[in-house]
Amino acid sequence: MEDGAPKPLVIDGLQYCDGSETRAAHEAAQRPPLALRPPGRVMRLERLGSFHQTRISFMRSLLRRLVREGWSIARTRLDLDDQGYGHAVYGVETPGGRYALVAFSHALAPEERTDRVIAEKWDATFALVAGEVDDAAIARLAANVPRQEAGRLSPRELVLSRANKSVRLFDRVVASLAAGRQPDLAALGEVGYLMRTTAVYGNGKFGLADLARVQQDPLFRRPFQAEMLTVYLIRQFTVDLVEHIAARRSPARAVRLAPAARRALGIGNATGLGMAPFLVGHPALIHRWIFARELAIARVRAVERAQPPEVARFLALLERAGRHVGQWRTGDARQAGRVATLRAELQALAEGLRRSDAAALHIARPWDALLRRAEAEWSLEMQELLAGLILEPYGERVDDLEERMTVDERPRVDPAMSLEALAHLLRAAYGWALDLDLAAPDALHHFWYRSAEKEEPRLGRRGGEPGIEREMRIGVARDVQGLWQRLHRLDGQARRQPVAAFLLREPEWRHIVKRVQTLAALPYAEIRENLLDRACVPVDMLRCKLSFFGAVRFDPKSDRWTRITLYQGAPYPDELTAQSADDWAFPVVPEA
Amino acid sequence: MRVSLNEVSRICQKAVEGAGLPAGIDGDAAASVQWLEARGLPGLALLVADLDDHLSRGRPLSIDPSAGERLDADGRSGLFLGALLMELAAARAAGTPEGVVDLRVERLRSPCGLLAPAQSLLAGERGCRLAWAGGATAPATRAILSPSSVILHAQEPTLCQPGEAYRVHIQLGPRDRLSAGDGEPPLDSASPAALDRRAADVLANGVEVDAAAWRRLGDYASRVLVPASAESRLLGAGSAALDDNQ
Repeated sequence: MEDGAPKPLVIDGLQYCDGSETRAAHEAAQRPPLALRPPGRVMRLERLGSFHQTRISFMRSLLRRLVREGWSIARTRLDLDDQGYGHAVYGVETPGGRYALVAFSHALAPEERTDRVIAEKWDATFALVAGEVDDAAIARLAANVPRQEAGRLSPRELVLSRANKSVRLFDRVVASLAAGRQPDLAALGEVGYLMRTTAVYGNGKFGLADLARVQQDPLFRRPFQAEMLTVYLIRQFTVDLVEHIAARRSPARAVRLAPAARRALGIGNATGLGMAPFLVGHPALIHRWIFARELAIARVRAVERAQPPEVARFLALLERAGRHVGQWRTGDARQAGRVATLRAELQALAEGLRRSDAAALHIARPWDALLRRAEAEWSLEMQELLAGLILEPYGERVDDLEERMTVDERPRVDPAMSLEALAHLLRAAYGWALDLDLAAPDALHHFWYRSAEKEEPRLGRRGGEPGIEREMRIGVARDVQGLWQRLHRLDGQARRQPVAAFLLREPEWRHIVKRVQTLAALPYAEIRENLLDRACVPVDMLRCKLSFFGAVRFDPKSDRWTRITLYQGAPYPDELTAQSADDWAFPVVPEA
Repeated sequence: MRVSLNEVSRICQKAVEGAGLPAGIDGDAAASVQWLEARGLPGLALLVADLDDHLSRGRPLSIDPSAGERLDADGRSGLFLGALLMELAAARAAGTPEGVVDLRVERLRSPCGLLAPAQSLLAGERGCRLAWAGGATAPATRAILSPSSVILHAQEPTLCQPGEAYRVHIQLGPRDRLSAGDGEPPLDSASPAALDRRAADVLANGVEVDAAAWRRLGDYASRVLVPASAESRLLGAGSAALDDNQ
């Protein structure tokens, strides 16, 4: 710490650089205190919206597990007509049992194709099913899966999803393969996917298996593993689909996708506001994810000396990251500017390290020094990319944190706490919210609501659009300030009463009191912004969550939705090895 | 029709919110109903009746806790107030040397809404005894709770009737200080093992729900939705008129 900086506060073995007085979960006491980045710095929307995938992102974690535990994946059915319509089944053998992805491919008129959640038809629909799938099961699924939200699933089905073709790419790839040629790599790289999912549902929606049931299988106890497996299998299906159509169109000449071309394809995804309330509605879970990420970063920053293989690995991935970012395309002006800056900063770092023979990595605590330099000199995108990049050579130090991404989300209330103590807790843990100026002209510009159209979350202008009376509870800072003001209108005696008595009299504070008491001990739970402000950029919330999935190539289409790519560069099931499963970060499409 | 527990929770939360109950109460009620339905107990039917009643009475949910050991819920629902009542009991128990509390609540509807929050408050050797009686039906129902089990002593498996208001007795304290007392023997069909079996069956096969009750809750839940409009469709989710086909 610099001279004059606040003395770090060490609580339960974890050191907080800003001296904040929040409690933290106890870390192994044998380890020396680690310097976690303070929540006041991390939990800002612009930084969260600069997160990149890391080696403990869910997709990366899943593929390592597939190999480690010897899962096998095989297509067991391909029942498609000449145009590729019909169904396919992919079986997955795991230590915990069998699963299957059932994929349906549909004819869809161009004017019917939309990525919006309000769509009613799609190019392809999918279900991940527990156990074997026979003809009767396929018939039942065929009657419901294509209907998506309008259908009914059973607890045998874990995940429901759908996808649309990339109009730019799908037919071009089929035409090339049918003509006996490989598709243009540049085109593949530019789009990055043959199909994109527009929803991946789990956790009991539409009759699917409840999360508690899914997690009875230890394979799926980590968050979103069933969904990540589903998307991985959908990717295989999209390749099989184009190859099938090409082969039917031109049996004598058609070729299959070459490995490099296949690797350049991931699964696209269109993510909109529907994901944003998740970060506010599951704060304890968000804390676990971000805390695990910060702990991983802190562990690597604490490395005293980097060994030559670790330096070599970092340098190799730095170079690859530079090329990956060089291929990152977006039409969004804000993001394009950030990518351009990131590209330049990566280039400057790489050149500097080359010229100096990586001298900066041969000093004491090199990774800590690198991140401090990034914090002082470089953009948020660069800071967060480097934060993930330094983890790559240190799987043995950080991969265990994959197991720490889940949490019991039940509220933790302290009914005996006095209102006086509650007020102190508010100031200590929610001072950031109390210090926001919610009287400023644009502070309450937005309101969040659920549309009657498939309950799609939307953002409205307060005072300018209908629906304010049905506002969703996204404005945590506003609620915190309301509670603070209420508590300070009470006299001394009233403030000595326990929270439980107060809430029986005034149950309208139930929500925010429960939230504050539960989350005060979880420093990375709250986005420390006013989410109702005109300046709030919801796409930053989406990117934060998507980075934990392992998404890349963020391409915002507005401030409210973004395209991403999943699994681009990842090995396919027939390519999985321990090495390949761990070495596909920062995918680069080869030059033609 | 069969639904998942998550669907039960979600529709209950939205229905309670849609009926205008305070934020946070919706989550409490949803958790209670989910707990009941997971064990084959009629949470949804109780919720529908209690939502109808709450709206017809048109009064605040709050009750005054300053009456000491005997509170009057005046016909309010244990599904809405159960968590708050159990937390009041826990707060009072924390203030006694032995950590024991007796709390009585008059005229409480759906007292089985206390079961889930009672169990969630327990840890270690703490236990809870709930008893309720009243209305035109059954003798007293008693529930003995520990962190991992619920033993129900009742004559009928339905435990409480929609629309009835009960006298409720809440005891919190060390388990060895709580006894089942005289009255109905443990209900076999609602023994801890039976409840656990039902919970496992629900996870495996979903919850069988009454279609009429589900529709009623859906009506309440729809009140949280804003009617669609062309402008909302265009601007609210932020996509352009042509947001795909790329």
